[in-house]
Amino acid sequence: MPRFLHTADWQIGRQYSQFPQDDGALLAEARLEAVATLARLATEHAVDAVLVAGDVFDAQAVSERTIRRLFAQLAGYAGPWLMIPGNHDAALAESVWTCARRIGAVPPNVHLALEPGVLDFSAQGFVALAAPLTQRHTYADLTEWFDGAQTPPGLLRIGLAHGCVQGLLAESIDSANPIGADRARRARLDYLALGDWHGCRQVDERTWYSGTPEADRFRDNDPGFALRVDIEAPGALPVVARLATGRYRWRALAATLAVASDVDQLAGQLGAAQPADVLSLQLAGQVDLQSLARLRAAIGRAEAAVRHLQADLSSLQLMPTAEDIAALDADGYLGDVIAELRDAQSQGVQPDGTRPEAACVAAEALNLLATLLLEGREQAAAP
Amino acid sequence: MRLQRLKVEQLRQFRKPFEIDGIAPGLNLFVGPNEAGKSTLVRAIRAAFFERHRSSTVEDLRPWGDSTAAPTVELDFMVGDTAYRLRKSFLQRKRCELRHGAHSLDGEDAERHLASLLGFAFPERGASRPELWGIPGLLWIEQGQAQEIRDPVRHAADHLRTALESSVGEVASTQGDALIAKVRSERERLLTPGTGRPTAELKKAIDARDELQAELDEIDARIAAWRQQVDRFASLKGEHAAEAEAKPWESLHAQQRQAEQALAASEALVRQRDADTAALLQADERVRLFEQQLAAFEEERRALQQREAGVAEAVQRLDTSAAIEARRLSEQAAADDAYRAAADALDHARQHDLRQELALRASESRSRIEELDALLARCEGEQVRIGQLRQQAAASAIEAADVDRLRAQGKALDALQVRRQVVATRIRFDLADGVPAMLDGAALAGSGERLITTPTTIDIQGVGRFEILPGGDTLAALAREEADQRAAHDDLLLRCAVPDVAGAEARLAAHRQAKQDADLAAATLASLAPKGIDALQAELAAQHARHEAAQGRLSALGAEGPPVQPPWAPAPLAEAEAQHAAAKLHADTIAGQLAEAKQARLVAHEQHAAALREHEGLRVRLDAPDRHARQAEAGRQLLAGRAEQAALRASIASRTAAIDGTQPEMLKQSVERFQRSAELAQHAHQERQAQITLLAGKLEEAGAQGFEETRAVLAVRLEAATRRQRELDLRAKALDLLLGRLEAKRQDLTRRLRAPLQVRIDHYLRLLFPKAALEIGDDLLPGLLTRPATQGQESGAVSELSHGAREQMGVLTRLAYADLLQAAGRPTLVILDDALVHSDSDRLDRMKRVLFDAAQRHQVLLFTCHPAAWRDMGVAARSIAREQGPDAG
Repeated sequence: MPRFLHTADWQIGRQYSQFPQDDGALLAEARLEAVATLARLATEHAVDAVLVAGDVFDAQAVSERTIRRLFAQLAGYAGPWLMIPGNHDAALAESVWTCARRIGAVPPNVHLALEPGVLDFSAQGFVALAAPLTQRHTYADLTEWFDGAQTPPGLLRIGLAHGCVQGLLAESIDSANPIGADRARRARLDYLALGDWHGCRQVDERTWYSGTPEADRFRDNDPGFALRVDIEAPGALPVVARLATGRYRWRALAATLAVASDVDQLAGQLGAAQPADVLSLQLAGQVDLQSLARLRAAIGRAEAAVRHLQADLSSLQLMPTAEDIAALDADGYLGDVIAELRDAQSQGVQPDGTRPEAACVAAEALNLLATLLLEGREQAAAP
Repeated sequence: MRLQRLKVEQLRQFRKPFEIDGIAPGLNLFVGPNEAGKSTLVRAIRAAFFERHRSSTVEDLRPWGDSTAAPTVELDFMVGDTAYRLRKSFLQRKRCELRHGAHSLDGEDAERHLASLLGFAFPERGASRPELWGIPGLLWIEQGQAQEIRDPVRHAADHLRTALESSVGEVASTQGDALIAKVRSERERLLTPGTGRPTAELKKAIDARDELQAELDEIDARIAAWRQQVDRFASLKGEHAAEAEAKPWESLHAQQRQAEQALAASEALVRQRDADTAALLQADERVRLFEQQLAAFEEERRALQQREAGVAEAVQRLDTSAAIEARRLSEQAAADDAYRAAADALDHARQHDLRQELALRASESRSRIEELDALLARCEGEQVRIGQLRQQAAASAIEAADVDRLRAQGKALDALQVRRQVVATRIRFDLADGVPAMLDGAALAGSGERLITTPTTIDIQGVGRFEILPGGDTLAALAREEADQRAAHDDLLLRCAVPDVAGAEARLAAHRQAKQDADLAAATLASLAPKGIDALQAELAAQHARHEAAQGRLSALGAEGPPVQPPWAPAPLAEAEAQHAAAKLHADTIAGQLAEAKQARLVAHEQHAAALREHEGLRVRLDAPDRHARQAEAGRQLLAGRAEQAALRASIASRTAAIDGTQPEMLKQSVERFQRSAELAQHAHQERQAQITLLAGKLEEAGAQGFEETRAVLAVRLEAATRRQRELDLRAKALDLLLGRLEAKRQDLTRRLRAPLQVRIDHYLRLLFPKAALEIGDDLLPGLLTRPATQGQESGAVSELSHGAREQMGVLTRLAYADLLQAAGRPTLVILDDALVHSDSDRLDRMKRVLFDAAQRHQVLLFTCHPAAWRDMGVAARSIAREQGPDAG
């Protein structure tokens, strides 16, 4: 009973531009660690082969060191690794693959399908029909030839492809690298292992996207898994199990603040964050000065607790109350200025929450003024 | 505030206690000469308030040379309804006591209370400084400082502003200025103060972002290039493989070979045609030779015919010339006869002519002889006359020069005569009759007169002798000169053989006439016989001889014979000569023609012989036995040659057509073209292989650098840099906005706060300059002063006024501040130490009104050393000197 580990979209060499460099470096490192995890799981679950459905590398021109490090992570599983190139690492005339081969980094148990064709794994009880990308983008269905491919009877027909299943995902309409929706049925495949979609997703009973083993974006689409696929015999339905492989949990939090208790609620959410969390906090609405101070404190605590927290408060408006102003000793014309800025920050705000630059500047000015006044008050109180 | 009593002790020149009591609420005038202690009192008041009692920097208060002194000031004053007593001692006894109502404060507590009460501050340590003096610093005007207003106002600004706020009922921001300063300094960390250009952190952030962006752009360009190269690599490999399969050069080679074969066939044709052409050339040559041979035969035949004709012609010519010769011979005999007849006629004509000529010559000589005889007779007559005339001339010969001299001498003698008569002694006498008297021997009688020029004796008989001696040398000299002249004249007359001058003249005339006649006769003779008589006689002789000779020859010729040919009249000589010459010429011509005819006959004879010989020779050749056979053979050969020519020409034409059909040039080009194409194709193939290898190497090298990974890292850094730049930019803009808003607000506020101060300023200004206006700036300082001028208005900054005017404005504005402070409930006391000394009397009068008005609200202490100037202030002046009393110093 052949058993496979299906994975894809390792995207080795990816950098995270939205993060500070050291956090980004750790997240990039985690992608390599995920591959090591895959190797370990493959060994643990005694799979017959690991199917890697494209986008092993994030780019063609990656450094030799990165190439060597990737293949070194595979050491934890001695069985066959089947890899096809995806759109990021297409098998061009000169590619990351030719480079890897040239420098001798590819271990013998790694089978690179750089051309379309049938790979014979009769020892493991299956043949693989590989549809690698040999161009960066193609608008033809590279799996079409699967339909007419003859394979020895008694062996499982396992397809490997990278691209968008037609009609499945809203954004895949007219997209590059299309894959026929019922390819598995038409080509009499026992299982079609797909890559390109970073979330783990079933297409039909024999077709799956495994998703990326380590999340790389805040989109909440179930990343961080590999699929264990058991197939009893040719023609039998595959039994698919999700194995967690991700280290970091990427989460996006968004909230619109209106009243003080909203801040408390958010603070509670932030307080529950875990060290493996990578958080994106998008805030809108308005707060008074005191709430803002509490919010900042809560964000500060969460930043210390999680891997990374990026907070965007640019849509959040500071609305100092009369008490705020009084508390700041903002007497005389200072009070007037605060009031003016408070009004100016709301000028021209679009329904979708975007603000013209003048409003942004006014909001920042208000924040600055509040900060300076707070500092002044603290200094005055200090002695 | 109202000062009531002042007491000082052990303070500078006031070693003994000195007290001024009963200080009035309004204006107080303190007068005293220099050094009297006015300024010391002012200093004492200032020290009492401004200096810490513990200060060790108030040595100036110590009386000179008194090390044990404890300078003390004691003041009684009211603030509102509260009475205060301040007693402060310095140096030896440092003490400060402040009592007000029931309260009593000591030391620093007292000082703090004072400071807040009056609105000034103490230094942390050391002497007090102007910036701490606050309200008193503004209102207590030190000597000569009235015009300085800027710093005192600045030092009292907070108090003034508070006072203004209270008067307006509006509160300025307590943190405002500090906040503005803070915002400004924050802003200046990002933007330049003036133009607001990015600086420092913000500029660094922008530069960092731009730099990274540039780096990223560069690496993007490299990636794009690399991707292109990869694509090119793939397409090259594809092309190479396809070509290696197809081998296009092989088909090209096949085409080349095909073209080469066609070209070879074409070239064979050319060679054959060339052979034909050579054969044709030989055939042409042969045909030409035979044609020549046949022509030669024909030519010989024609030549024989010509020779035959030549012989006939020679015969003809011979006959003709013989006939001509015969005719010429007969003509010659006739001509000879004619010639002889002509010669006879000529002889006869010549004799006739000679006779006639001799007869003519003889008659001519005869007539000439007669002429010559006549001429000779006249010549001889003339000759005789000439001889006679010349004789006459010689007889009367006299020199014309001699006649001239005689004439001159005569005139000179006459002149001398006249002079002697003038000079001579005149003797007039009238003798009685009968008295004999003798003068130089000559008798005198009667009466008369004599001129005596020489010594003369008069003898009168019976009387005696008188000797008269004419007087002088002149007479004697004249007598001598005359005697000389006379002698010369007489001599010349003698030599000329004339009696006198008239005779000489007559003789000269006769001589000239004779000579003239002789010359005329000689001329006549010369015209008759130009060559002389001898020549005439010689000619005569010659004529005689000629006549005789002619006569002699005539007679020798005898009588003329009868004419030779009687019928003809004797021909004139010229005609006879012409006929003779013509006859001779004719005879000669005939002789010449005869000779020619003989010659021609001989030549014709010779030609005839030659023609016969040539004809014979040619005839012998033509009659040779093989001649016919040869001619026939030649004709045959010619025909054969012509046939060959025709065949060859046809062959050449057909081959040429064949060759043209194959287009050998085109074939050559094709061969070359296919060959070159094949080579090029192969070369391109190899080239592409090389390119592929090269590109593979390049791509390997580039791929190894992993620059897409580098790009990703760079993109991360750029994102961070951009984020930072945006944050800083936003912060800078926010600070800019904030600063702008805050400053605008403060300015607006200040403007509103200024209004009450302006009211007070206007109040006082009207007293000094009616209709003038003084602007108050944001800093509460007087700015532009506008007042009526001779034409319209003039404006100028107060700081640019004269010293005196500035002083007046200084006092005036201070009084306005005082009003304002008072209205805000602050204690006010105005002290003027020798102020307004630079004002003229008019201005001073006005300022007095100002001060007098101010004194209605404030206590004013005025110290002066010019009591007279302030006599009209309505208050009694208090003399410091008098009040001081006896002083040890």
